[in-house]
Amino acid sequence: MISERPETASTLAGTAFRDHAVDLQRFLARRVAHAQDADDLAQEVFARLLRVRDADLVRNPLSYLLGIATHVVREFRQRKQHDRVLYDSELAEDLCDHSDEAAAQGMAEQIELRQRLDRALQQLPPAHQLVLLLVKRDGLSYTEAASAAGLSVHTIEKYVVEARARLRVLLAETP
Amino acid sequence: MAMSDSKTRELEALYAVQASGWVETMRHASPGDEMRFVAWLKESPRNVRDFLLMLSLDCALERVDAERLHSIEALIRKVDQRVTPLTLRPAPAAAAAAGRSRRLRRAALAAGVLVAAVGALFWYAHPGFLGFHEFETATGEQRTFELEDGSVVSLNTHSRVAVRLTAHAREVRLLRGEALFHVAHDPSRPFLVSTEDAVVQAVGTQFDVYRRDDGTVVAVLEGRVNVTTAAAAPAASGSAAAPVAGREQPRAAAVRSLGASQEAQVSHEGSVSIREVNNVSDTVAWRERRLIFRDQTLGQIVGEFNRYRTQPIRLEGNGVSERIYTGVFDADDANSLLQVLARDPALAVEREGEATLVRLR
Repeated sequence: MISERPETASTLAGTAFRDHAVDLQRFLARRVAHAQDADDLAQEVFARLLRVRDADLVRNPLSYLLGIATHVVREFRQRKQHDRVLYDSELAEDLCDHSDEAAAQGMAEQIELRQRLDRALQQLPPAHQLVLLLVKRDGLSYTEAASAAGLSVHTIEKYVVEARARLRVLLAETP
Repeated sequence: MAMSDSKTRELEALYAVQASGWVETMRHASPGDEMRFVAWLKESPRNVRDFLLMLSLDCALERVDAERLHSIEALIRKVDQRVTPLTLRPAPAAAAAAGRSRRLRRAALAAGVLVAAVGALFWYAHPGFLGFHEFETATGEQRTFELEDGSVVSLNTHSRVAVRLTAHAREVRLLRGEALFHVAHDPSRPFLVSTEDAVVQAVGTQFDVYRRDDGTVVAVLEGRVNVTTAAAAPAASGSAAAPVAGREQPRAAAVRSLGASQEAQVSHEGSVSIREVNNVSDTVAWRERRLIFRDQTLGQIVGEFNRYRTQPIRLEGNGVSERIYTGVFDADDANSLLQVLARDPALAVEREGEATLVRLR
């Protein structure tokens, strides 16, 4: 279980993200590959970020960003429920979220995303696979991963950044 | 305006690396990082989107390979095996450090989309500078590569560097264009970047050097560097750092120390002017293929654009190149600039075959 892991540097943002916004995470998880609504979300979040004073924003940018994004997602959902005149698959999906099947639906999405991630992982160069598995799957700290793989901590960090970026591109290319 | 698919994909990959980098940085962000992060977010909704999606992906990754089908040991073996078949011509200096070279190959193999495999680069010893390896980019091309010491060099369009690593120094000659250096910390081997005007010395930091027609511009993103004008250059084993031969009168030594967010302009004549740069990230926006101009003349702006273009934009007639503009453009999309100019009632934008002319109405 994730919660039993030592709190390594690599899970910190993940934890903050999860704690902050379950809605947001689910909204985005569905869209890691298909970016349509993510664009609208980003546009709105961006507009609101511009209204926040820099001094405030700089003090805790991550929680501001996630807080605003969570609000925007809620508003999206409400708006969609209000005009249910037209059929749209997105709307149907959102309605599901509020039904009894929501949990099952969410589960299915999670599993689908996980399978796609696993497939994408196999397309990475071995060194990238290695580093991701050590850090993400096995929950090693960068220092531990470095000594396990015989690489420098700097390289581990670099590979994590690159591997994640490649996965993102792969997921976007293979729906 | 339509970019080729490969261009688009390259850009997507670049944006993804950037967003992924921010997810990493925000784990242990310093106040400076947080400021830069906010500035980056505020640049574009796309950055907001990419960051949020990357965060979500990062979260999902914790459940990757939940069935534990992949074996770490097998992967380590695979990574090691892959080292052997790559045929790299070893550098004389690198031969002395086989361990480092091995790591380099491994890194080069694994580094993926952006960090090009070293073997694929233009890689040879320049006849005049034994032991130097040259790297270059064509017009419109950008490349990032890692040196054996872990330093990372990003070359902008139409640029060329010669690199030599020895036990005592890390020497880079910027022969043409512009490069961003992310220097791995190694106090025993200074990192020296030289142009005909100046030598920049760093131990571990991040800085940009741009060899312009009228001199050399050095901008520091992190840490400190020392800038020495060519006449006063420290001679590092008769080499990259040696002053350009044939100057009759050596000028007085001028070593200037440069900190983060400072920029030095060194003229061919050896004069140095240092200024504070509020938006030092603008200087390296080229890595994202963005061109940022704040109250700059059209002459400067078009000059920058033309670095990326095989078909230059030409300014014709008096008064055109002195006009002042502010804007952020995509280096791959000159039309974005031309569209802005076309909206200026004082200007006429015309096409003549492949060339584009801008003149006063």
